[in-house]
Amino acid sequence: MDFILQVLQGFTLLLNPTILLYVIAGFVIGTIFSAIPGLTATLALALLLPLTYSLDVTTALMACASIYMAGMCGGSITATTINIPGAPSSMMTALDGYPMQLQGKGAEALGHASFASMVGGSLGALLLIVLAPIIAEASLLVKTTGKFSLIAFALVVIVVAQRDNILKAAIAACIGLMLATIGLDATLPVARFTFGISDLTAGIDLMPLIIGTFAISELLVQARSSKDSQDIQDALSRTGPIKRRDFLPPLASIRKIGAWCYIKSTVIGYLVGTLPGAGGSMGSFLAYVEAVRTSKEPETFGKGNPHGIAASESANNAVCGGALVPMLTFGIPGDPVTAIVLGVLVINGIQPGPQLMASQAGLIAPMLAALLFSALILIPLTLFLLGPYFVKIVSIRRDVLYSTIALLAVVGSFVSTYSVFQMAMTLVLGLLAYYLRKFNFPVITLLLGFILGPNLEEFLRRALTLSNGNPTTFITTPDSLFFVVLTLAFVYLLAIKKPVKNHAIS
Amino acid sequence: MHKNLPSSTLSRLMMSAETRLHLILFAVSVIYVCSAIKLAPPVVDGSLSPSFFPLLIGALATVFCSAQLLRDYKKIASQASPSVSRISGQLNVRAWAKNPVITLVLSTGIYITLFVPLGYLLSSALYTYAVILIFSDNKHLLKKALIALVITAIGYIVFQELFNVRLPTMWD
Repeated sequence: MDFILQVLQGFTLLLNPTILLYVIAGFVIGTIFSAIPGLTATLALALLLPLTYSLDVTTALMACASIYMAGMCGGSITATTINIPGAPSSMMTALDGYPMQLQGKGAEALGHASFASMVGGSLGALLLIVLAPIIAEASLLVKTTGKFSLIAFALVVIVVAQRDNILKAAIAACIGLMLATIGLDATLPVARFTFGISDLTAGIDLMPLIIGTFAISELLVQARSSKDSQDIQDALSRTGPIKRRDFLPPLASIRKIGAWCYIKSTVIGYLVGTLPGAGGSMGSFLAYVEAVRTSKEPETFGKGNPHGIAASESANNAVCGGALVPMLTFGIPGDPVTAIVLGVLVINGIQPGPQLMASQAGLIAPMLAALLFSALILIPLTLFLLGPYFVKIVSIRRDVLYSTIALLAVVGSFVSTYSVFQMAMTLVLGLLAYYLRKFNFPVITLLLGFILGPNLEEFLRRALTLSNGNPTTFITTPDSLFFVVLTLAFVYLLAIKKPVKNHAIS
Repeated sequence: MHKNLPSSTLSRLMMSAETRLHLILFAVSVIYVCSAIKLAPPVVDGSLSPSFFPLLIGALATVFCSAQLLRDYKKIASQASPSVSRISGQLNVRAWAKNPVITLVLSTGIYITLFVPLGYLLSSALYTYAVILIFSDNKHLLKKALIALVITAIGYIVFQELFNVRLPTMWD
């Protein structure tokens, strides 16, 4: 109850014009980045991360929350109008949004997307506000051995969630873990894997890894592809003008979809969000599959059924609330955006983990208030006011766009440490991430391996020291056993058991 | 001029850029394990040493990379043997020189090197101009130079003025 009151107090911070400006600016930037194919809210956050050094941590977290929420809904505009999802989480929206556009009902599709985003985002944020303190309290029951098993569980789930790519995901996770071991050992004054380079003694900073992985590698990917731009221009030339009123869905159509669809998709999105590595795409996919499965007219899906848009968009925005649960309660980021939010905490000297909600609730509560504010107010307002222009943003000149991103990325990596060495590390890590992405290695597992690596090692060493080197401690301690069993269950469900084919989707 | 040669599974394997990356990752994993072995024995006086965890993940990485290489080998071996063009190497060198990815990496490397000696304004203007040219054609060069200057100025305002970041100048 105390935490809910603190969240309510967090809303009063939004009355501060400076904070409100940062939250709105974050939302608009997030929407623009997610509307442009190839760019994501993750990239927006990676580029803006260095600037959070100059901000008060509460303001920075509130701006991050609004970027996150914006990143989930902005992609639906281009998914519907030109059949090119601005963000991966809007792929399922395109399945019904674009056919509606072709039938001359693009306006209705956009309206449904924005309404469902608002409902899913708001309910997801409310669930987070209500459940996070309870989960945080339960997380205090997890002791050293259990903490190791929990982090190992998170890493294994992230890897096996890449169903067609498990081996490569495992290699990427190992690379992240290996990078995390560079520098001074956490318990003994021993420099590891520095190869005589003194700058490496302090280890690799999180900032170069984030900027390299998400900004530099994206620039290199975009430098390689020139065709997409032409496709977008061609698609835009076939699109008619979009008006503000297009973003208001017809009430009768919302009634036909029914409240149950929104609620069920929100819960699916929220639960998927709590799983490490799952993300908005999986949330919207599962909600869409469920909508098809329970529909009386499944054959209409994929041909312009607003039900599909409502399910997809409710779920992907609800993911935001769910993904923050493991990050806030256990210090385990569920996706790249929450990993960067975790980076903001670390940069400001705040240790994420089970104690975070208890010791820093005053810091976290305004962020959740901003998340709810973004979903409830900014999604409909921004789409209503700026929606028609987002389609035009897609046609922004590539040279201007990417030169600006390149400058922000490279200078941003300097800002964090004032070190040219860290700038060089950004380039090296960006090049590594580019080649990994080129050959279908999921870089999210690398990033999470890097972030979780130090804690994984620390708790492994402490757990084995406490048990006098007896490895059976991981299955004899109840909290650890719980996560070991959970890990095995997820490995069975995601990696061993054959997926059920859904003919309606295919 | 084009002389086609039959190729063995191994040579086809080595021609695949993907397999070359897997080989590099395998080599890195092995080097990592060797360095971890040199650090210390994994257990010293009954407690885990700084080399224990690296040895564990290094070994895992080596196993995963080996499995990936084996998978590559099986995939290549199961495919029909295509011929290999003898001049493909020359073509690749030309393509390498015109590759925008390589140009972008080199430009960024040079920018990072010159960032402090030349200062933010000059080095950033040159870098932004280079990136603009990489992402566009070589027309309207003057207009693009002006755009580069505007982007650099906006970057300066954002970092130095708005967020109070101390950027290097030529006369630091």
